[in-house]
Amino acid sequence: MNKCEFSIQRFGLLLKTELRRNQKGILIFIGMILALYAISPLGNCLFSTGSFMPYIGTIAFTLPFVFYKNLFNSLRGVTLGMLPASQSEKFLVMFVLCTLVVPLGMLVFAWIVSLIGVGLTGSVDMMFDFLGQFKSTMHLGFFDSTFWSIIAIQSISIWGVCFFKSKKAGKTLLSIIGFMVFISIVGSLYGISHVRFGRFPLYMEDYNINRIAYITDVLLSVVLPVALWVWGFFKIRRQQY
Amino acid sequence: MIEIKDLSFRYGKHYTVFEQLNLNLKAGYIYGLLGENGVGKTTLLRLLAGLRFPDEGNIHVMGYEPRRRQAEFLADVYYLPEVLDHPINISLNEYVKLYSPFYPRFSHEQLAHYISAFGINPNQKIAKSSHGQQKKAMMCFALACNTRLLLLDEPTNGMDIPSKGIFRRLIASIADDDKCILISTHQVRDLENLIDPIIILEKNRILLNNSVEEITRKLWFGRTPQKSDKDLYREECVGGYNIVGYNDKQEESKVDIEMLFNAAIENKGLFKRLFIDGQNPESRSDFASEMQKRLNAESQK
Repeated sequence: MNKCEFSIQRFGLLLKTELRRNQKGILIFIGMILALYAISPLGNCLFSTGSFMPYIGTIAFTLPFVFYKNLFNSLRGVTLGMLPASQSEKFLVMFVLCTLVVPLGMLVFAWIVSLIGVGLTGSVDMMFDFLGQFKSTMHLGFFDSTFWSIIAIQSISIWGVCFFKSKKAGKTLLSIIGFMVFISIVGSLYGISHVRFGRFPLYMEDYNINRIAYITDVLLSVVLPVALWVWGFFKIRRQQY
Repeated sequence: MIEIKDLSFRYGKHYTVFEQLNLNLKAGYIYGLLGENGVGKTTLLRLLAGLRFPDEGNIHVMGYEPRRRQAEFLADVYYLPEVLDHPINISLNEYVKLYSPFYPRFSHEQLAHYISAFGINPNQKIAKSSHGQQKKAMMCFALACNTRLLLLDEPTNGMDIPSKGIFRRLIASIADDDKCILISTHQVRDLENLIDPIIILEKNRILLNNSVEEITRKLWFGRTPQKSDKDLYREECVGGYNIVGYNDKQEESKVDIEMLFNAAIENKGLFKRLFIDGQNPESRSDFASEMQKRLNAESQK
């Protein structure tokens, strides 16, 4: 076995092990999607473009909590904790599995289902735009594509799984609420103080509005998700079982 | 192999488990880790495995710092907890297929031997087996990993009587000069004639970390028809008393681990002085005064 922090051989082995360990969860998610569509009264929406995305987004956000709810658990987390792989490899496997393998797998699944829909109905309009999910929707290129939005939102779950030892989902949701309340208060205070002291014009030029919107967009869509992944990466090393 | 220096560990701010603990363990021995409930036996194993981190002090295991949880360190350590990771909803064969490639010295031949010795079905789902069967399945895997450090927490809990004998035989068979096996247990009778040296852990300190030979050089275990003031610990039995006493005649005797443990718990100060501080066992005055103190305390009660 390779004596380094990252070994492709170990990474592959660990990914295989984690896929096998979580295969039940993966099958349940696929079954849930199929069941949702099967019982949907809006059957005609089944094969329409974009109808998969809310489900894929929800699954992507939920699955780190399902797959890694026992990470750092003093009983159930020991097998993974003691598995001979470095902390970087363990984090990267979690990242690849939750952020790349399953969401991409879901997109492929959506594409296949839409293909079946096209076959059944003969309407090419119902084809799921697989590549379109990776294209820019506004002005940040790949970083405002639908796929990036899904994994960017999911970065909060990855952070929560690495940061909290128990009741991960609940504590993460509370953190999101806390963060949003904090941002609202800070934003309001900032706005009020500037209007009050006359430093902030009541109307702003388009240039400034666009600039602020752009910076906020970059911060929330690019910097925050990356920061949460990096935070999770370092946090996993300091967690005890 | 294991070097613990000035280790302090607390749960939260107020519950201190270890304070300035020092301990050295060598390769080539099967250590028995004994102690009352809550003294930190499992915590110590978890600290050695890197699952817990010291608050102060250092732990070095085979030259590694366990808290870093490096892959090559983890490949040379196997920790078998008392309570298993349930539900392992796969068979032992599948478990081996998944996890054995991580252990470079894993031996499938040895695994087959252990499976046949314990008489378990490797195709049965582990979660659907009884607690004892699960323990045996995981024990087979742990032994076949051939790690240099093997940490076993209450390994015989839940095992039937024949399996305990098999466990003793298998552990004795894998012991070699490169390996260190540390067994934490309350079931001392299950491990008699297996563990040597014996470590007795007490709140925040170690009362004993000595080989059986060193123990019997200082203490005498046996049966006497009458009790004596010099007995460190005694239990009434048919026709007399089982006692642990001071070996002033330098007679040979066989360590009774349960009696030793009880004697240590009742004579903590004396044991620490005799075995940890290395005080000369011939200094009878200290021993006599200790005995006198204990007798006084008993009479006051």
